[in-house]
Order: sequence, then C-alpha cells, then structure tokens
Amino acid sequence: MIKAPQDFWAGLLFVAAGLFVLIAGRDYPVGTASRMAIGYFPNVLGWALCVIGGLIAIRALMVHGASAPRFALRPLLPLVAVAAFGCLLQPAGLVVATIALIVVSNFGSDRFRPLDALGLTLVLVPFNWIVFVWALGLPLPVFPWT
Amino acid sequence: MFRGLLKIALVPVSLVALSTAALAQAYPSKPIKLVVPFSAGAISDGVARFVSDRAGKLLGTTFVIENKAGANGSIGAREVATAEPDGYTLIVSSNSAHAANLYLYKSLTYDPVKDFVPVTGLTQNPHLVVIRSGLPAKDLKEFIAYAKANDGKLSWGTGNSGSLANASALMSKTGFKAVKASYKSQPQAVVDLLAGRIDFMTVDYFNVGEHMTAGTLKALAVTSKNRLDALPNIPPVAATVPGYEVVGWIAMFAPAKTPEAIVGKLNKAFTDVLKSKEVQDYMQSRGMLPFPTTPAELGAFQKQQITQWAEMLELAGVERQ
Amino acid sequence: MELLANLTHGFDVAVTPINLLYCLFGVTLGTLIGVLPGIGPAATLAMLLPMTFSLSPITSLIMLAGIYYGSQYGGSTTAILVNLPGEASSAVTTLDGYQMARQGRAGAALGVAAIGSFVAGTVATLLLAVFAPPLSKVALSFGSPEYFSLMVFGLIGAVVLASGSLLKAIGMVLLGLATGLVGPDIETGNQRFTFGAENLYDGINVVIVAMGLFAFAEIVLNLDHTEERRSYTKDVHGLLPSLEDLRRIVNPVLRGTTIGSFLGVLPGGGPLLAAFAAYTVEKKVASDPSRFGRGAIEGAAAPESANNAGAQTSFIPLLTLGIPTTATMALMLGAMTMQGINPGPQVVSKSPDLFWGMIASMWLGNAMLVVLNLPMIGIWVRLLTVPYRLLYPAILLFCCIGLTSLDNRAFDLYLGAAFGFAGYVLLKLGCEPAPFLLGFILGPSMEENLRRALVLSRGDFAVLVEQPISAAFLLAAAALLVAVIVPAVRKRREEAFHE
Repeated sequence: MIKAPQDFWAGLLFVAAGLFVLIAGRDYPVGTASRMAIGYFPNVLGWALCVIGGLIAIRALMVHGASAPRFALRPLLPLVAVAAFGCLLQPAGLVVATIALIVVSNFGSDRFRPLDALGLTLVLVPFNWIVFVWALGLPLPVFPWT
Repeated sequence: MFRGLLKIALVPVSLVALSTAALAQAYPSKPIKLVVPFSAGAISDGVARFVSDRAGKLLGTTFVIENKAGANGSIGAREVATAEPDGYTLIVSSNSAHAANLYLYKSLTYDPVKDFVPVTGLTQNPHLVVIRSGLPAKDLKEFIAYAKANDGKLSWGTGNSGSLANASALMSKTGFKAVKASYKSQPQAVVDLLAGRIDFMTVDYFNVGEHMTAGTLKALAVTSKNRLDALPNIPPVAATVPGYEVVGWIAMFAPAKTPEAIVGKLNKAFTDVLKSKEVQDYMQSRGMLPFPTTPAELGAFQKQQITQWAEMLELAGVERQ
Repeated sequence: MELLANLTHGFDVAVTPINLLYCLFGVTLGTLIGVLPGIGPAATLAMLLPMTFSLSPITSLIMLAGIYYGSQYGGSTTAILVNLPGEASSAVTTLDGYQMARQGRAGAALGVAAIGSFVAGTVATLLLAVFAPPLSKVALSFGSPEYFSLMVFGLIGAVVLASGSLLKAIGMVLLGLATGLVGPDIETGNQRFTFGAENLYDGINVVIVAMGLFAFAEIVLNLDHTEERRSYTKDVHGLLPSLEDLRRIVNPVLRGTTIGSFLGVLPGGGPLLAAFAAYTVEKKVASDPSRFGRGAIEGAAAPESANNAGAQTSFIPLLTLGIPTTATMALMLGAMTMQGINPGPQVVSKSPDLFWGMIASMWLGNAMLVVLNLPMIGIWVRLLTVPYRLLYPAILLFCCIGLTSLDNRAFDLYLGAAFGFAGYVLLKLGCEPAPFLLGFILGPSMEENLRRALVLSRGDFAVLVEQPISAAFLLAAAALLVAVIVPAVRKRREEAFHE
C-alpha cells in the first residue's frame, strides 16, 4: 500500500519534528504579524513542517519510490566513540581519550583488526600531542594527572 | 593536661598558618590561568591581555588567558567559582557576569558575591550618547527636547545589554519614549545609525571613534560621572541629568577562600600596572577609565552595581529568565 | 595614475623580508588550520593574538589576514577529501567536490579549487584596491528589509541546491530553520528551545552542526554496508585537472568571483552566502543540471571562487567602516585596535601604508597559497589511498579535537555525535544535509531582520517592497521559486502521464 516507504518515513519524521516544535513552543507568546513575538516564527515553522511532512507521506502512498531503509547498529559506534572522547578528555587527558576513541570507533568497522587499533594509537597519540598541544598550544590535559 | 593538649593542637594549626604564609611567599611559582568570559579580540579581552601581560612581569610569572565566552559570562564565571582557591585560577569579569546576571537569570549556577573574593577593579567603560547625522540637535539638552517633542517617534538601537540598560535609563530619567531595535552586536547597530535607519544609541567609544572624527556620527554626552580625558569636548550626561552615572566595568575576582595574602599580592601588582602611564594612555585612548581599587572597595562597588543593574534592566523591560 | 602609484607603494611595504616571512607563515598556518577540522581561524587568531604584540601593526595584520584567507583554502581541502567543510562556506564545495573525490578525481577537484580561488583572490584584491570606498557605501545601504529579502532569496536558493527530492529539500530547510532558533532571541533576550540547558544558552555552534551532519554522518554511512554504496575508489585518475576541466571552469570561476566579491562586502553576507549563491547560479545556467551533486566540476569551482572572493572583499567593511562581518573579522578588528589602528572612513588617507600594504600582501598571499597547495595535492590524494578502516578513526580524532577547541566542553562533542546520528538517519531517508545547514545559518538571521524591519517601520509590511533593493531580491526570489517549481510540476505531470 505504501509505494515509497523511504519517503513515507521521511514524511513522518518531518511531521514529528513539526509537532515537536509546536508542542515545545506552545507557551511562547505569539504576537501578531506586525508585532511578532518569540513564538510567531516557531509556530509558523511547526505548521510548515507538518504540512511538508504530510505532503511527502501522502505522495509516498501514490508514487513509487525507494524502499525502507535498514539501519545497522555497528556503524554507530564511531558516534559512541566521539561521546566517549568528550567524556574522558578532561578527567583522563588526551592520551586516554584518544585510545578510547580509536578502539571504540575501530569496532565500528567489520574489517576491524586489533593491530589496526595499536598502530593507529602509536601514530596518532604522539602526532596529536605535537600538533595540538605543543605547536598550537591548545589547553588540553594530556595525562590523567595533569 | 589540658595545657598539654592545647600545645599539641597548636602545632598543626601553626603549621597550617605557616604553610599558608609560605604559600603566599612562594606565590606565584607557576603560570596563572586567567579566565576571560569574552571572545578573543573583544575590547575587554584586549584590555585583560594588555594589563595581565604587564602585571605578570611585575609578579615574575605569566598569565595564560582562557577565553570562555557564553551565557553572558556565566559559563566562565562558574568555572572559576568551582576552581581551587590557590590563586592560580582567576577571572576577569564584568558587570554582566558579576552583577547583571543575578537579575537576568532566575537560577544562576553560581553566586557572584559568595563564590568569589574581589581582587581589584580594572576598567570602567562609559558609553557615549550618539545620534545620527542629520538629527537636529546640537547637544544633549536639545536632543532631549527634540525627543520629547517627538515622543514615541524616534528609534534607537542596542547591540548588548550594557547599551540597552544605558539608553533605557536615559529615557526613563528624562521622560521620553522611543522604539527599540535590537541587534546582535554593537557594530551592526552602528551601521544602521550611520545609514540613518535609527536615530540614536548609547555605545562605547571604541565602536564609533572614527565615525565621530569623520563627522558621520555625533556624540552628545558621555555616561560617566566626569568627562573623559580623551574627549574633553564631550560633557557628561550628568551635566544635564544630575546624578546620572551608568558605566560598564571589568574587574578581577578570585574564587572564594583564596588566601588574603595572595589576593593582596595580586591587588598590588595590578593596581601598580593600572597606575602606570603606559596603561593609562592605552585605556584613555580607547575611551576607558582605569579603575584600580582595594578588594574591599570592589566588593562594595559590586554590591551597589547589582542593585543598580537590576533596577535598570527591570526598567528596560528585560524579563528574567 | 594614482592607483598604480598606490599599488607600487603597497608592494614596497609588503615585499620586505619580514612582511613576506609573516605572510608565508600566516597562509601556511591558515591552510593547516583550515584542513584541521573544527579549528577555525577564530580559534587560531585567538591563540596568536599575544604574538602580535611583538610585531609591527602592518606585519601582524598581514599575518592574521593570511591566516584568514589561508583557512579558506584549507577548508576546501577537507570538504573535498572527507566531506567535512573546514569552513562553513566550504559546505557547498562538499556537494560536488566530495563526489568527485569518491570517483577518484580528488586531484582535479583540489586543483580547480586552488586555481579558482587564486583567480577570485586576484580579482577581488583588485576590486578592493579600486572600489573600497564605493563598495563600503553598498555595505551601508543594506538595512533590515534588504537583509530579510536577501535571506529569503537565499533560502529559496537553498532548495535549488538539492539534487534529490524537492519536497524533502524544503523539509530540510525548515528543519534547519527550526534548529537555528535554539538559543536567545535577539529582541527580548529570552531563551527558545533550550529547556534550561545552560550549554545551549548561546545557541548551537554551526561548526558542531557541520561536523555532525556532514563528516560524522558520512563516516557512519560509509561503515554501513547494508546500503548499496559505491565504494570509495582507490584508483586515482590523474593528479591535476585536465585541459578539458580547465576549459569548463572558466565561466563558473568568473561568475563565482563576481557573486562572491559583491556578497562578501555585506556585513552578514560573507563567503557562505556567496558560495551557495554561485552554486545555485551554476546549476541554473548549466545545460545539464542533473550532473550537479554527482561530481560536476563546475559545482566545485564556482563556490570556491565565490567564497575566496567573498573572504577578500569582507575586508572592505572592516577596513573602511570598522565593521566586522564575521566573528573572525571581529577578532582581527580586536587585533587592530590593540595595535592602535582604528579602521574607519579615513583609514585609506590616514594610514596608506597599512591599507595598500595589506592589499599588496593579500595578492601575494593568494599567490603563495596556490604555490603551496598545488604540490600538496599529490600528498592529499595519496592519503586517500590509505584503507578506510585506518583513515576514519584519524578523521574522527581530528574532528573531536577541533570540537573541543571551540569552547572546551564535553557537551559540544555529545551534541556533535547527536547530529551525526541525526545526519545518518536523514541520509538513510533520502534527505540531504546541505539545505539543512543553510536553513540553520540563514533562518535566524532572516527572522531577526524581519522583526527588526517591522519594528522600525512600525508594523508596516510595505517597507519590504518599498525599498528598491529589498523589492529586487524578493522579486528574484519569486522568480527563482517559479523556475524551481515549474520543471518539477512538469516532471510530475509526465510521471503521472506515464503511469
């Protein structure tokens, strides 16, 4: 029945976003067109998103298009690695955070080999220190005890 | 026996006292982190760098500037509020983070008074009342008359909370209203003033100096109590509106519980620098007033400013968040 | 001829050993900074400010300016190689430049970017020399109504950018607009959509959005083999652009330069607007617009010329009016005042050394950049042959350090990861990030200017069409809208006809 699943879900996403904007901004004063308050624009946007999303979804029911996307979880690991880096940098220093980033993000590839992680660490950790801390002078803690 | 216990107790106490004194003696023994809650290149950042560079030489150390702009200086302020009070983390703050923010933010994540100990003032930054070329007013008195005759018809611009408060205070004290246009930064507002799209604004000298010289903008008055040395022909607003004094300021604070001896050392170094001719010239040429104080004077000033800014911002119709 | 005399004088100033040295240092550092993701010229300038104390004013300005436009060159490099706009204005270069790299034509892409930028830089510098005072008047003639109309035109153009579904592009623009609203409202200072998170009190930094949506999402997508995705080709088809390539880019470069020179002068315009305006124009005048977004060389050359031209001309409002057009410019202004230089209407007459020396040095810097960058192409291209599983953690790492350098907080990294996730989901649903980024950047400005225009006109909407410049842009926007919708509708009719 849904002829273009990918578009259908895209449309729903936009509608959801529009609803989110409308609901999150429901307490903002709207004002009038000539005296817009902070809620005016968000309101317009929220409705516009819902309309566009609706159009996309409806069109997906009528016109053939791409099939539904399949999401994989493993490729998301680099994102987890980024978060880990952020979490570890201040308390544990650049070296630890870098190692964590490399290891976690390496698992994101299904062609992962432990030697890769080791090699990358040995190359990148000193490189980072030289370029960012020594040469550019960024205020980054390097070791857990700094 | 009691006396014996007392004697024993005295040992750790005196050790602590000695070590604090020793700490102060040895201070500073390494670079000092100076948090600056403005973006690099901003006028206050420039001042902080200039002054701390000189003070560092006096103290025999270097100041490492860390720019932490954000949330009107709150983010930088909170970092220093929770830092070790050993004298190696300080903040150059302003009337935003250490006064106005108390009104602006209902749940401020730090206490500008309790979490800090004042070290010294650094500069006071008055604003100029500037009108667009073509506005029929030769001085502040004529301008106020003109504005009152056209009550509600004039427009003004503001690019930061300082100019917002200043202009609002001016209008409320002289009794006229005007339409407010808000901008993301002072330079943007200055553009509209140059083009005549707004009628007046209050702005720091730095942003309009060249235009004043070129004649494309006219400055009517300065918002400090007295004239500025750099602009002897511009009277203070107080000459027309008695008692008027609205200035921005930047000052140095340290985390609460920083030892008095260390604060004293910093105060001496910075006030010496502020009194030097080089720094006086630097500041005056940029329309700023050097502002050396004792820690106690700064503390009292800050409390007065907290009240004043709360009043002005409320008058200006700024809502608390 | 006075111009010749002035330029000669300028070259005298610029060609001293120390000024040449610091020019070289500045552009090299700038390129490096541009290549390192997330560390923009703003952070670098901030780090180097103390150094400028010990240099003479003209020397420090030459160095800082070199860093600024050098980073434009470097930002294009990452945009082409790894789909990461090193500078926001390079976002448009990713559209075709990155696709060219995936087809093994990274060398050609990098080459036309460098050449286009050099031509643009030369022309723009000349414009600076000849037209600085009149151009600064242009800067003054843009008020809130004009900016609003410009943004509207820009946003409609953003829809044109997309090579895929029109409706989804509109949706992405709207989504970007909504995300751009997070943070303080200019007029009242009240927070919108921050939900009490102090870290959002200044809005979301565009670097985080660009990093997450473009670079991170691309990495996740590349690792996702459930998609039928053309793999990153290792065969490299030649290191430099061919003669055919060069022939094709002549007009795009010229058009891009013109657009960029004009838009760069506007405070609030700048290289980004210039880049995507140029891209839009190219796509519209091309004989086969469907090539765009799939590796059309014109789509890499035009925006690159535009953003470099814009970077040069954005010095005009800075030097002649003392008005910085971007945060980086504000930094340079700060550096200038620290040196006791007060830019303004009289800077040309009061400090001719400074003005003409800077102009001469800018041209020299551009020349140095081409000489620096062209040989580097070989190295970059060879870097791409490193197996992807080793490459992407390194890219990730540099991005993370770049994000940390923004404001020194972990929150930015979490946010970046979140945008990466969002970008991945959106890409899987067939939605492209470029319109989002443009909506994100232009939207808040558009709203701000509309509200301010209405405040100053006391609620009268007519001001938008009464002012000539504003009316012109609105008309152009309407025309663009029609030009976009008509073919789409026609296509739909054909589809329905065939079914």
